[in-house]
Amino acid sequence: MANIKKIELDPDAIQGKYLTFQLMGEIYGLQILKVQEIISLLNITRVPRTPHYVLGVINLRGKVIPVIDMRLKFGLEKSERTERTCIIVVQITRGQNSITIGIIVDEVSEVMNVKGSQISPTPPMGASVNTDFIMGMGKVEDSVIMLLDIDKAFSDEIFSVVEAQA
Amino acid sequence: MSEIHEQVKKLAELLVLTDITDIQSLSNLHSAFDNMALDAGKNSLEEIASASRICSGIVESIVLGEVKSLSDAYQLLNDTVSSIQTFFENNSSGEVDLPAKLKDYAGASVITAKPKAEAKKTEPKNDAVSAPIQLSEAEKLREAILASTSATMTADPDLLVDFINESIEHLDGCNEHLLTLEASSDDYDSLNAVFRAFHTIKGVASFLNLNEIRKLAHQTENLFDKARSGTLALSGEAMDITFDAVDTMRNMIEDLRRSVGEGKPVSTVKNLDRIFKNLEAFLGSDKAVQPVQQQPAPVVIPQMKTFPKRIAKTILDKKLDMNETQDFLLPKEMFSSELPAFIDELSEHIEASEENLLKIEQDPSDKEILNSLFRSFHTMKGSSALIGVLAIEKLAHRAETLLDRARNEKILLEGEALDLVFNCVDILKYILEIMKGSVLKGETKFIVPEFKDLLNKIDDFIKAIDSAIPSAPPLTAPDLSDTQVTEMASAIVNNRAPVVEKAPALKEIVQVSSDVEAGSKKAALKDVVKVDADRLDRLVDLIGELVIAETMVTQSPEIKQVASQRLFQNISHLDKITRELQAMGTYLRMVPLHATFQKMARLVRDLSKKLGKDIEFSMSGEDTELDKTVVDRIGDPLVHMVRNAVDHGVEKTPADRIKASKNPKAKVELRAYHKGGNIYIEVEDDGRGLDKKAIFNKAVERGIIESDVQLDENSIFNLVLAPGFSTAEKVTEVSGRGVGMDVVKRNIEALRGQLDISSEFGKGSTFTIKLPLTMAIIDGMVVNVKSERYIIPTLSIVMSVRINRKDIKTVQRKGEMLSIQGELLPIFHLESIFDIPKDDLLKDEMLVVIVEDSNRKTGIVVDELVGQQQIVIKNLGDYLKGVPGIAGGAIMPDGYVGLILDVGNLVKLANATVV
Repeated sequence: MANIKKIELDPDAIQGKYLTFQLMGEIYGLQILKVQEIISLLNITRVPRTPHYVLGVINLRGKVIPVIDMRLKFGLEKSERTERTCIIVVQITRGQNSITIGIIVDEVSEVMNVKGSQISPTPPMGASVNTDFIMGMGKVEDSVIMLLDIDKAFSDEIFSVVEAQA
Repeated sequence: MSEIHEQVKKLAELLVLTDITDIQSLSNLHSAFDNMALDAGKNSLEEIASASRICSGIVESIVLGEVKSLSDAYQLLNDTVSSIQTFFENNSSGEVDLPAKLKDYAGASVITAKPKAEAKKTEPKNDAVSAPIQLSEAEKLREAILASTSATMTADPDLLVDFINESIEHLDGCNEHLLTLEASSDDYDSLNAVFRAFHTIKGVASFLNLNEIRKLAHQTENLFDKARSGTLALSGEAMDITFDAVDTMRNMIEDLRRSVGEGKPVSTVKNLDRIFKNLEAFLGSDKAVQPVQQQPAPVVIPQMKTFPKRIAKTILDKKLDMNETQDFLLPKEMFSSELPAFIDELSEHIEASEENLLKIEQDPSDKEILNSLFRSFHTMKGSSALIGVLAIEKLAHRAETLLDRARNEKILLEGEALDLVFNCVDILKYILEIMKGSVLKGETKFIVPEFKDLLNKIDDFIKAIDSAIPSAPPLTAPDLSDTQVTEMASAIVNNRAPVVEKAPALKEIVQVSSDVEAGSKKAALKDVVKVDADRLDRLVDLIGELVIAETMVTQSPEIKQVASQRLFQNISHLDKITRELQAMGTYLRMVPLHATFQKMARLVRDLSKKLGKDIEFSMSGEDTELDKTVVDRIGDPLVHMVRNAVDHGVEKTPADRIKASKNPKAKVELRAYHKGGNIYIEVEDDGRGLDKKAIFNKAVERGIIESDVQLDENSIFNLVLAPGFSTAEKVTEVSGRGVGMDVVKRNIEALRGQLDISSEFGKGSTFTIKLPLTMAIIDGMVVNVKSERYIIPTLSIVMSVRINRKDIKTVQRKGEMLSIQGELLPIFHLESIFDIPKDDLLKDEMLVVIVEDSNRKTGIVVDELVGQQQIVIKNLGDYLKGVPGIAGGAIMPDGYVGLILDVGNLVKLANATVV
């Protein structure tokens, strides 16, 4: 279904500052307004009976927030812990509510300004790759950044789709 | 005479509230003046009667659009009414000091329009004369004050305290607005806010007979009214005077507070005369300027007798106009921010009224309660008029009139009269709910089906009372026909659409009282602060964090190595403070059950009337405090339980009770009490009790249980809580219980409470709710299972036992059972339910924690009991909402998150996994 869906893209609407991070060598961009903070790996408590990519919960200064392994979420292999592995705390919007979650990424690179002219639509990649979470591709200098729609990635329907795949 | 005085007061209030561009309120005003003219004529107060007639004529001219300067005409009305008011306050002696301009108008009505210049000339002269007269009145008033203040003090300290707190709040607001005004003197919102603040203070002060305060408030109000209408620029000197007035007012209020505290009059305000003089001077001087700035307004007053028809027609015409040109109806935006506060206030009054009504029912002659009822309605009327919700105003007014008759001992508040007032309260509640809804959703239309009927009924009733007693003064006829009232109410509400949409969302407000102990009920001078519930929650969160951080520091090995006496002293001091803070944090959210219990009292009253049962309802422990969240959510389950007790528990008729050799008057009791760190709420009736056999048979019939199961008493009673049991159409006949009880049970479990039933057939039954003290903190047992750690709420733990593997019996090679103390319990392993990585070691010894949920015991096998501790519950957030078997998380002393088990859910899960 994903590749049949017409992707309407307004590059100017999504231009702006992106925090880039890496997953298995691929560069992803996260709208900077979605990011609350970046923290080092904390002690994670496993929560039973949750999807496999939900690693558990952490104590973020008194708030309990869930932590998601982005590699598992995107169907990649489980990440290894290195000293560069960290948690990006993001605010996602689901319906009316704003939810705070932590996502584990291989490493955080930098904050980049991506202009509308540098953004192109996501090319169809065949049925095996889910491109629903990608708003567009940013080409800055030599690198290609996949601009992530983090709200969509954690919206309910996608949640269940991925669960079914897993 | 006093009737007219009342009328004048009301008129003055109405005048202030009148929106001069709003036809509806103008027509109200018109009939008010007419009524006054009529009554004054009857009391041979010709001067006032004629003044009222002229005023009513002016209003008519305004409606008909024959007035050139609206503000001028309005000012004249205002002046006239206040001079009439002054006349009455001087014990109706002396002359009515009517504004000279009015006479001009009166002349005009005869000779038609007067030359403009002439009208202009006469004004300054007359006002110059009237100012000193007012001043001397002020002094007269001052002399009479000390006596009246002390008299009030003995009368009603509660009311005074409320007034003091309220006024201070208003004055604080004023200061803020004044500062805004100083920066930009044309800030209309601020002007209005200050005006309203003083108006409110004036109103209450005159009610409490605090004449000095009333006077000052009145003068200040006048000043601001002028500023508001643009006839006075608030700058320089005028600004100083207003600041002065606010400060003086504050000092006077503080005096009053001290007076209440010490029980004798205190007066530190010395410069009152100066303030009054300044104010007078300003009000006077501004009048002198006014004619120069303003266009004089020649008014042609039409013939009086043709009036009603004409005005009605005009209203109709204008109404059509309004529909076409919507922008004519300017939204009163200034009120939008006050709507939530108003709703808050209203619900408090409604609650209080209901409570008082119930008391009155017991003793219809209790003056004090009657008075406080009257006050509630009076306040509701006033504030709803201020906000512009005329439906409420109308209703409150009717109820007030009715109560007034009762107060004057013309009727006893019982039977039909009482029911009428109860109806009023119900409709008020209904309107309130709708208003709440509209604030949240932006919906604005509402229909109150019984509204018109009720108004009619009350009116008829009052008429009947009044006609029955010849000596009674003539009743003020309803201003408009009732259809119009209803129409008007809806029109008002419709017009207010933009306001409602803009209103800020209603926030949950927790009332925090500085006095934590529930026992000490000091009525006097209890400071109350209303705090946003979100902030409070955050504070409680932070306290929890502090406790954790404190533990982490004090328990750290590094600290323990330091062998310093002083350090340890300091640490133990810190520890003490932290614990105290934690205890305080726990109590912050606690509110008494009182209001909830009150609702039940009402419920029992209504139900017993409807069902024709004679029931004595008693309550105890309504001061017991519970977490706000719990109190809010316990209402629904309680309604079900109380309703069941009255409807099904108590025998159908008193005759049935006599047959069973019981007192024909049935008893239903609602109790709340503390026991062992929990709160218990019980509903007890001495009715038929639960029929075990019937319940059992019914459950078999419903397919809830097999017919060959052996059940003990508890399990049978619990069957009525089973979903599916209650769906039976007529449970009543068999068991006498079970309407929506599964819902009740679920609600209570959501609050981490338990529901127990005990009953003796033929004697009665008791339903007991057991609730944790707070929602935020629980006692938990920390257990280790392999590499993971979980918390089991102590509330649900029965015991923990060490068993040998051979004590476990397997059932069909699947489920495991443990025989202990003659009971056979199912047991399960946490690691298999939660997929915890197992080690293959098979130990012979096992540790089993036996938990109980809805009277069913189950064993959970764990590896180690770490210990018991207080745990601050956190939810896992929306993302992980509804993880089966997990109730929430908690931050452990080591900073990790520990997961709290949801025992009830877990047991279900275990059964599903095993089978």
